[in-house]
Amino acid sequence: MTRPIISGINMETGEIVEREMNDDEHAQYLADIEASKGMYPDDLAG
Amino acid sequence: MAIKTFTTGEVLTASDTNTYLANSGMTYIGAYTATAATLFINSCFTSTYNNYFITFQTTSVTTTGSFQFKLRASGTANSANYYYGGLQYYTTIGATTQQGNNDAAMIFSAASGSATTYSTIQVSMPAVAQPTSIIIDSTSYFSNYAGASIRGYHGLSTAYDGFELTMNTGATITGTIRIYGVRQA
Repeated sequence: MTRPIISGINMETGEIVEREMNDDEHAQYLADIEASKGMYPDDLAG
Repeated sequence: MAIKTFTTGEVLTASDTNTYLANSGMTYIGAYTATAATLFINSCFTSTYNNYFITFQTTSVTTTGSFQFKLRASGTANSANYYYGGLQYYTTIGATTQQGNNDAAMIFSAASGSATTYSTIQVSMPAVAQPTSIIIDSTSYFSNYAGASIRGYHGLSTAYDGFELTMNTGATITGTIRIYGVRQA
């Protein structure tokens, strides 16, 4: 299954990275989504 | 204090111009544009500056939610110890409060669909092993939402060299980040 993309740049070297999230990044990504549930008024909920 | 005071009729030389360029109030460090769930910048915070000014403009997000700011060290985000408070603004009801106490990120502006969002992020002392001050002001225009003003700090005495921006709903973001260092003297 395809994971979300993480993309960025190293400002010192100019190296650009674009790849799927690794295990730790994906676990935190899912935790952030879980923590956000119920944060919004109904009219802002997606 | 002025580097040099010019008098009437005096010629502005190449040397003067270069001096002013080298000593501007802010120094452009770089920019990055991408479409991803996590947008990150590494190796942008150094000992050269204590204070940084970041602009963050987005043109679309795939799911309504709020942006998150996290500091990074050597390529890894810190997901704890964010302490902050502030206001979320709505065109119908005014402002509501928002706070985070040892949160996983500093949560700031909401965003939805193709509504453009603009944020300015001021980060103080990120590259020094002491708590990092973070001030974020944002605007966005969708539904009855108008923007946010959030301020606080990351509480660990750790030196960071970068940061990342995500959405707490896991959305894919299309946006541009620009970073400036604030001149010390």
